[in-house]
Amino acid sequence: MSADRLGPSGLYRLMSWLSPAFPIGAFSHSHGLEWAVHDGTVRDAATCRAWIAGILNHGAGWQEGVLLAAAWRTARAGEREELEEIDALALALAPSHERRIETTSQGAAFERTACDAWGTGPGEAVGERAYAVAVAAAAARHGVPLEATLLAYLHAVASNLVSAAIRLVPLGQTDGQLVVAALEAEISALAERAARSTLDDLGGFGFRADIASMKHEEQHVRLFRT
Amino acid sequence: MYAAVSRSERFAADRPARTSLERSSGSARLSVIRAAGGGRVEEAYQRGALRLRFPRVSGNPVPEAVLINTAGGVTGGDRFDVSATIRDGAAATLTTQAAEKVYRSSGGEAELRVDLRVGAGGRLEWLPQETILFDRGRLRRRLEVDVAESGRILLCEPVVLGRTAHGETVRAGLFRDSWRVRRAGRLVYADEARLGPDIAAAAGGSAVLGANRAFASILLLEPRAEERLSATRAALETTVDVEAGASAWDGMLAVRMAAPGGLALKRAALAALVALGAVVPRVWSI
Repeated sequence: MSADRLGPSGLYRLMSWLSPAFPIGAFSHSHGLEWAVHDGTVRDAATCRAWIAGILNHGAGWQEGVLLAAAWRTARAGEREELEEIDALALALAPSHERRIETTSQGAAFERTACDAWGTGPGEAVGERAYAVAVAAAAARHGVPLEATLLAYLHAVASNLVSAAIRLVPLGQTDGQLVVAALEAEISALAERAARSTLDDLGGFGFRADIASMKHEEQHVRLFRT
Repeated sequence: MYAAVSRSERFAADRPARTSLERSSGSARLSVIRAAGGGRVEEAYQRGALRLRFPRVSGNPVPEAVLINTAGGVTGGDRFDVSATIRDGAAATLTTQAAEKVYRSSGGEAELRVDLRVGAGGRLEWLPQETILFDRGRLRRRLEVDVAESGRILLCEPVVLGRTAHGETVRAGLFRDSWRVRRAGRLVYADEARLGPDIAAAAGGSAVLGANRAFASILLLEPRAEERLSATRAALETTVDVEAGASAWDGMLAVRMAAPGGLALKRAALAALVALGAVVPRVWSI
């Protein structure tokens, strides 16, 4: 399979790996959204869209996109040590305990399932693994193109947040899909930019999202793990 | 030397925006060795526009080093380096004499590099006063930290976008801050903060700063840092006009806070620092 063209098998794999049905427990993570709903920041479709767009453009979305791109390239080149360094950086960038759990629990589950079901992954036990790096490594090993992987990954992140908002705000199913549709252009542009990025392009400012994830740890009544 | 200092101080007061031709640079290097109950300065080196002063603080055996930027602020093209080494079992506090103003840049970024090392059982508090980013100011800061397993470091970096008390708005510019924090050489915490070039458009986002224009990140690394979490959260609960959260994991405790202006931010930072066991420098008094 060419690394530049997304063939049917590449599309099939991305759809499987980044589907809500892929068993990594994505449904249990709100990335701090549960707090943002509690404090009134997110209260309808418009505020939900603004919150998610902020996370994509200025928060974990862009950061993870850059990390995913760097990890994909090193995995593709078989640079094992560099890949571990990117993974260590991705883990260190977690701004709170819950955000750390969010990335490591999904990362480990992704790597395990991808390895068992798709014969991908390192074929040996790794310790902790950042979710974006686990996806990058699997895609690179299967020759799935970078930009398509980024688009699928960022779409999965955004969709998962919309699905959390549907339960938390609550939003109607159609309102949720309106948000997903409204974010299409932004996510496409972000994936395209991230595909051309290097680690020097890291940098964001999801400050209130970070605070929300910290406050969520103290939230008494909650549906989500993070 | 003295003449050069007073000239630049007067110059800074007269004209807030310097041109790119008048770039300044400076470096300061400090090492502290163990002494009864605290530390003793082993080496202090200063060059260019950076000065190190050691005001006596009665009853405190921990040396307090105060950094002074004699250029009275930074602008594009300036380059400052600070490094501190706290030897095994030693303790020190580092701060700055005044808020660091990042003036409008006519080209390039002001570069600040800070390297901090703490040995076994050593303690360092890096508590500079706030950085004030002026409209079209451009700042690139890098903080590199390495702490021994049994060492302790407390970092706090408050930042204010514009002189908020004057109602000043920062529309464009760059704030870029990279942290790499290692424990015994292993990367345990990193931060990549970046605002700009269109600061006004980004900052207003609900997941970014919302209505806030001042923010601070605090990080504590020490064995059993997690044990300070409930006291820190309780201290943050008492603050006014501040959005703040605290979290702890893996021998670390992180705080992020955001406020509409610099004063509310500084009050909240003080409350958090006290809960984190800091001896807040006297220059911080508000």
